[in-house]
Amino acid sequence: MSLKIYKDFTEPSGSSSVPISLAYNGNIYAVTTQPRIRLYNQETFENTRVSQAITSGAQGITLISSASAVMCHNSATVSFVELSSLYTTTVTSGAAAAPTGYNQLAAGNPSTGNAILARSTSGGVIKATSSQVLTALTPAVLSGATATAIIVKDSNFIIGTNNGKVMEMDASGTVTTNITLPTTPAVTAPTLTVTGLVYYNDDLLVLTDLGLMFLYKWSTSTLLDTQITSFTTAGSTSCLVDLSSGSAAGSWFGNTSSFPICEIYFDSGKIIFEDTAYVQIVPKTLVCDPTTNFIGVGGNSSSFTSYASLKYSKTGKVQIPTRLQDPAGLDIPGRVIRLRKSKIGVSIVESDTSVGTGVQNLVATDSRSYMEVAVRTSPEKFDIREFDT
Amino acid sequence: MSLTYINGATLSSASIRNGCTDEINNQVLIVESTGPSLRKYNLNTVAQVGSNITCVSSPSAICLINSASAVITSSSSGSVDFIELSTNYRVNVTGAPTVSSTSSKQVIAADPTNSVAMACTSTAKQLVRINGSTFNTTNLSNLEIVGSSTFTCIILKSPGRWLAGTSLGEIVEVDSTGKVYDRMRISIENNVGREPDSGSLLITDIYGLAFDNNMLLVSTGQGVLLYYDWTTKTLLNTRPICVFSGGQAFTLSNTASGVTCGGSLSTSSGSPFVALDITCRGLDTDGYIFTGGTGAILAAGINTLNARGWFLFGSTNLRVFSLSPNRVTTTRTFTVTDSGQNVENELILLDYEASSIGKPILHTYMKSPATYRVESGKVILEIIKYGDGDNAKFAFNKYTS
Repeated sequence: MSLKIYKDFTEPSGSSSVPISLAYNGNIYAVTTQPRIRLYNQETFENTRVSQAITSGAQGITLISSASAVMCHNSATVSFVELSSLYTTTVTSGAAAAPTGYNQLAAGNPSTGNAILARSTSGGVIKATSSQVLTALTPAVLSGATATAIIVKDSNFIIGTNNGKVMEMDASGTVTTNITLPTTPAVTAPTLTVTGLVYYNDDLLVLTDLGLMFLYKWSTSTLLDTQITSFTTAGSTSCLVDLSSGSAAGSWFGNTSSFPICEIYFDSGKIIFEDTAYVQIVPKTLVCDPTTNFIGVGGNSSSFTSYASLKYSKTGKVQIPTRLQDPAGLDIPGRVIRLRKSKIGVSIVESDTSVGTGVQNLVATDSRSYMEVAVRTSPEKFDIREFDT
Repeated sequence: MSLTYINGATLSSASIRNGCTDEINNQVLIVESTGPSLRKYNLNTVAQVGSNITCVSSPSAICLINSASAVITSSSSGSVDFIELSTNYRVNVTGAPTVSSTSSKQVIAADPTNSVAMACTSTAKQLVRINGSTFNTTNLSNLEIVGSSTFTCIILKSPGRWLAGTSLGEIVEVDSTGKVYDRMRISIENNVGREPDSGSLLITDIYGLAFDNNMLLVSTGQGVLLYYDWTTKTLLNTRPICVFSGGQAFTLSNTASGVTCGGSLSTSSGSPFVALDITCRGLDTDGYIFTGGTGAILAAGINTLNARGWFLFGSTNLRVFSLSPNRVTTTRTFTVTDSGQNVENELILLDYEASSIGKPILHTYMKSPATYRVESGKVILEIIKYGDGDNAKFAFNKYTS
């Protein structure tokens, strides 16, 4: 099992929820409906600091530098947050109200000091800089569309919209790649809204409001796989977050008392649902801190909790040597099939490759269990070993 | 396989309740409560066959009890209809319990070989047996299921055997007398604040089942699908599939070549109706059709003779589709013994000829011997593991399916 329920907390002010949060550097920056920003330690869940009152209606928060974050709101205000002090400043010049009900409405690149924020008015997005300057970017392909999911890709951004488009845009607003999600076969073609994006190693995972999840080879716009998940309705957001190295986490509405969080592996050309856990909070946002393998679930408070969290197994890649010998002591070439085993029913063939003689390093995922099949081709023989990384 | 939309029909003056497939005549039989009536539609032309046929009031479910006759249950009248399909001759038999299909649609399942149908009732621990030869009904009371649970859904597993789900997360295999031969209770780990075997059981209601060669797909009141190996009751995978807040679960069809179809209530216009492969590519989305409307999926079915399928949604809509086969399947029985005794074992099937990167063909924990559906014409590497740790034993077998 690679997903484990961790800790949760009830928001101290009693009645407010934590719809937006940022998990960074071992901390949780919980943006409450009080409205305040509360700083928690991810391990202890101790609330160590609280901000002054901030602008209400926060819809997204993202890092814009290593020391500060930027927030968009449902009003024409953008807030900048100094993370050590939780001191916030607001900018209205050039700001626009953000749409509501999506997980990835703000995406920042701390190394360049740029962030892209969604706006509810169709036709563009807002670029924010770490020097607190806001600029509207209005590429033609966004005409008539609203950005509903934004992520960082290298120095660019990938944007999903409420009319089923996904595009790559640089920080000046130039769009280089633009695809339209499939809406057939259909009795009547729907308009898809993108609710989540995760990118890794030229693979792009796209989640939509009607529940279809698409996997694309981004450089060629090739559709690799499609899987069904739960659709959304008013008040039942679906979310996606990057766990790095070809893994993602998704959240959906389940029923009125429990909500599934899934770990998804997509680096093999297939969308593979690897593990599921359940939380008792209506998920509005899903965030991740890959340095601590922490997943935070923000949403509407239930009677149990205001904020839930999970821990996930490491996703980073490691090199694990292998060697074929037959008989013992005599190195031979052959075929090695390496299966990553999360649990019965969910194994993933991560590599299937021909190897030469002697020690060969093959990639594997950190902190996982493996079954490795060695094949001698002539005469055909099989052997197997199990190991943990 | 993939889904191709064929055509649709809107039923006039109707409030659809349920439906079933008449495979030999290539028709979908629909019961609706406005008339009330039974209506037949051809799955090639998507045109109504004949006129509306008056049926029992508040019809809740229908199935073919044998190749010539259908049986219709009622949610209010305490009687069932037997309809002779070639003449539409109707016999109403009183004394039956009411059968509700408000949440689950799979509330009746027939064994045409023996002219017997089994249906769920609202009485705790009770099923009703409907005999198509003698035209009578028999209440099967106080059956061996936990607590005061009720049966919520039922499908035919094989001639003489049914799988039934309950309101307390239990699935039992029963015969036509109600005798329980096998059982499992849904138990979900990795959740917050719920004891798996308490009154607040995380998974309570079972609302749909699909079964093919020991693989079982379960639609739940949690809004998730659960995928099991029935031989060992091992949970193999989970998929969030619907918003279960209005009492509408994900409705499943029967299976055809290991594929089941289904959909759910959606207020989002055009949510997809999907095909799910539950055998050769364990719980894989095999195709979809955007429905172009809103409303609950009331029933779905596949004609296994020609891969033509249908679903009913809203209160008046029939949609017909085809499943386009892109694989041919066969079944294979796996036997694993240790010292002459059949054992439980981990079974992994890899596509050996092509690159096997991605999902294995099958990864399960099985009780030997067990039969699974596999794609034909594949070179498959079969890996078997039984025992743990230093006592683990492995075996390989390469073959063309």
